[in-house]
Amino acid sequence: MVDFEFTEDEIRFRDSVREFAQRYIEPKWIEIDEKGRIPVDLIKKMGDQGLFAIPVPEEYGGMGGSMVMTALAIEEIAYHDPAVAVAVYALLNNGWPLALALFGQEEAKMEILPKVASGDAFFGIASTEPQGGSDVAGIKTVAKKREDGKWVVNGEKTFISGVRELQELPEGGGFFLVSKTEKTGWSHKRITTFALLPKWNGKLREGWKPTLYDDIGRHGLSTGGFTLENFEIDDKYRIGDVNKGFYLVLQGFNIARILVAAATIGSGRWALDKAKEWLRTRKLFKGRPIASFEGVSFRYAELYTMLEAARYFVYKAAWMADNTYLTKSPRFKPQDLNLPVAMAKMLGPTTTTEIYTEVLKWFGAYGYTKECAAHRGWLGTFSYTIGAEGAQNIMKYIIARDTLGSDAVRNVWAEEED
Amino acid sequence: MASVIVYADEASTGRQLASAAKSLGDPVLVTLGEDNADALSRYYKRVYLLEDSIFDPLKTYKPIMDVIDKESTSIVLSPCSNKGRMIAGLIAGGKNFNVATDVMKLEHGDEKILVTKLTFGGNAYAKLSMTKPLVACIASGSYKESEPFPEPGEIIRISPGDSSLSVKFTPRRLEGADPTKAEVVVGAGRGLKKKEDLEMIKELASLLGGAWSVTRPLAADYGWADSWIGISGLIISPKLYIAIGISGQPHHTMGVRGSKVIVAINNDESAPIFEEADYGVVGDLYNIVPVLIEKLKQRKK
Amino acid sequence: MGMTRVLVSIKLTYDVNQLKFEKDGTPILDACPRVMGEADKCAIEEAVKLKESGKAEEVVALTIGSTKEHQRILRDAYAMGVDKAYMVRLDSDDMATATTIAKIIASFAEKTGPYDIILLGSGASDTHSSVVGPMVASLLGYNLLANADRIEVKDSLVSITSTLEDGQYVVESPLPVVVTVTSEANQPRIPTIRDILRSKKKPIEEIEAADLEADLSRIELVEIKKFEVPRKRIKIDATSNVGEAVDKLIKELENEGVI
Repeated sequence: MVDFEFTEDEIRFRDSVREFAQRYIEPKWIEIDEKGRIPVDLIKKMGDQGLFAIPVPEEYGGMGGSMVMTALAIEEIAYHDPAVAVAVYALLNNGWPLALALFGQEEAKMEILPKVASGDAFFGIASTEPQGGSDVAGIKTVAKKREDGKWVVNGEKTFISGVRELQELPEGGGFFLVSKTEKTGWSHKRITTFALLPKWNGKLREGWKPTLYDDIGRHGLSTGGFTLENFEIDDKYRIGDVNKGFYLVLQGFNIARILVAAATIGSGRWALDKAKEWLRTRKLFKGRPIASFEGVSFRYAELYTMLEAARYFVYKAAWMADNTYLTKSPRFKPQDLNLPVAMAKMLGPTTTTEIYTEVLKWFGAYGYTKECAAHRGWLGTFSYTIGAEGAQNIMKYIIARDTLGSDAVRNVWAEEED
Repeated sequence: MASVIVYADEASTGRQLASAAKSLGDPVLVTLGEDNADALSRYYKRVYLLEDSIFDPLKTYKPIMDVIDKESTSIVLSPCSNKGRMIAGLIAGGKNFNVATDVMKLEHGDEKILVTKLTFGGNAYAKLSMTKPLVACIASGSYKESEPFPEPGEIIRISPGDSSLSVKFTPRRLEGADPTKAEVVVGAGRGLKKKEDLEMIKELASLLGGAWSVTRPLAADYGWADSWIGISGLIISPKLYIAIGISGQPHHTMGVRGSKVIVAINNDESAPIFEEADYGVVGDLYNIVPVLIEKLKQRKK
Repeated sequence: MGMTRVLVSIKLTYDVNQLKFEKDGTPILDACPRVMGEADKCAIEEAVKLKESGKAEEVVALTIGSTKEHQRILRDAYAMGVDKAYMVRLDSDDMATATTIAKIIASFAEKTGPYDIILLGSGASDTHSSVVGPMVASLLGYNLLANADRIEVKDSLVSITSTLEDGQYVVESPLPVVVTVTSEANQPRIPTIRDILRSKKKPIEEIEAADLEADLSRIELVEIKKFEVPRKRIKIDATSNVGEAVDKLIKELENEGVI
């Protein structure tokens, strides 16, 4: 029979993250959103506390934890940082390091992962390009192997998180890079993935030209782009076999999406808790709390239920990920994660956006003021409803295809290769 | 009658504990400093005066143990201050006495003493039947101040015990009136957003001829004051206590329960402070306090 | 100097802010969450800091009670860095009064000691009697440094800063000494996931209270009920007409004769 309770260690860990977030993140989240920057010393503190590379095995400098624990940590951080800049910074430095740990080469893992764990380096994802994000098979960045064995990469990436952060960190860091091999053209069979380190050992590398964008929310974490001009990558940083990268990055997306959903849920929970206080204590029409109006309380009930449901999706998917990747006897295959992850990623952000929309209406004119701060959570999480880390329509597509059958639902990746 | 020994180092507490002692036997005092001895000698049958006036718990409790022997006492009372608890604990351990703290009432049973005391942060009370000998810390305000005896009690000088502690003492800096002595006290809590907001608290206190203080977080965490009102700080029992922007954590309310009248001003109707108040004003302190100050000023004219 | 050993005694306390009562006033203790208090965490933090700075060689944690929750707080103590953890098994009928607790701690210290420094939180978060530390001191004939906001150990001398009702005390004591620590003394470290996972495997030794020379409590509980603070609890609404509300307040206070 199913045990729906967390274990004692999971609860102790979550409580320790809660204490950390209450002490160090909650007092600063508004300033982080207002000033548009996560202080580097907070990142270092998080590293010292062991909040990065949680699911990465200890042999690579990771915490040797589980995806369930990671999701608990991200949810808790997001509850104390509703604008989710810190939460997303954390989830990127948990999800993509795990992907590197699972698929990368030993030397690169030993070199990169301990520095991510300590908070000295950043490791995120660089997939999206100007012509498209959802269509991974259509990317144009291309890596060519030279006679000396090194790869030379040319291309452009857009809407990438962490472009500014890695420049500010002492060590630097980079991304799980998705690239075509030798020639471009539409294909999912000619993709190779690499650990791209534009700044490493404190030095900025040649051939990496970054730009920064101005987001409408989640200001604490930068969104930027970069061009790669004959950027050299040593073969040891290649992640997985040549031309086999497509399936690796999709797995990485599955892992990251669980954590993204966890972050949006943490933020949504904050919004509901703030609303609860308001609904109970704000009195109108001769002393009636707003909660006494059924139009309001029934809506709260719906949103509460949906948030709980979204939470269960997240932890079920996290549990499945643990039983796929972090166990000696896997119970699931990587593709078994596609459906539950898509559902979690579809439901989490959209539920949170719905929550914020309703909560802001309940707050009324007060919600429209900057003092209220709820708008920061709304704008911060909205990017995940739009589709950062996985467009909503792609999530729906995956669910439709896996439930209705890929013979009836067009299998976009079975298209003719170029 | 058997004697009941009281340890007190402050006049008002000394008078309250004298009442408690009288209800159980002959009140006998052990105190520090000539001033206290003089102020309290009319409330006790005998006063043992410890000469040293800087508080050292070891120097203090050892002679009390000798007095216990001399007086053949089986009941010792002390205040619920930090010092009182230290002395009570040291005596209980040194003489194998039972001990109870935050005591509201003591009554003779057959062979035992019926003790009514506060517990669980002051949210609950417990009635315990305890065998003698015992030490009890009496909660401030539990007993009214005693009536004086016609004649003052004899003052007997005793030497402090030995101690290998070395103690340096810096008296609390008083900013305005002393909250432990004032008849009116205004307290400020975390409802205040900035340190400058304390000015209106001070103004209100001054208008009412009283003292001001803060809750522990404002002193210990924010550093807005040197001392605070609460179970580990100042224990007050003024005629009027006004709690402004204070939620009413047990730690704080245990320090003010001896007040005659308590007013709370807070905009959270469900704040625990309203359980502890005679008059609970629900609303924004930033609206209410200035209006209160204005009206009190007009009233003075 | 031989090996400096530190004993920290911690208590599983009720979270009094969450304590609820039945209609007849009986406290619903089973449903009330129990935690390690803030002052106790500070006491462990001080002990572990002494070890890290080379001033103590061994830190032993002790709690009285043997439920799963008692085990959990000892594991939390391990996660913070103590070397050994003990649990004293009490008979469920024993009422764990301050006297019983102090005697058990003193007896434990004699049995597994000697300890140079014994640390406790200055007052438990639920009962706050603050007498256990002083009792242990006089039972063992140790010096007492109470209500420490700051602790320093140098050349076998322990000095503390404490804030009492009349001012600030800086007190110095030779060893051995009992020190009670306030929740202002430091910011207790937050165990990392590695600390938490490792603490799972650490051993917790159980000792029967009967094996320690602590006589049973001479106290009988007659009743324990919700304390209804005898206050008038008159509400004055100042959310709309502040002037009117203030007028009412002033009038009431005049009637009370306090202004």
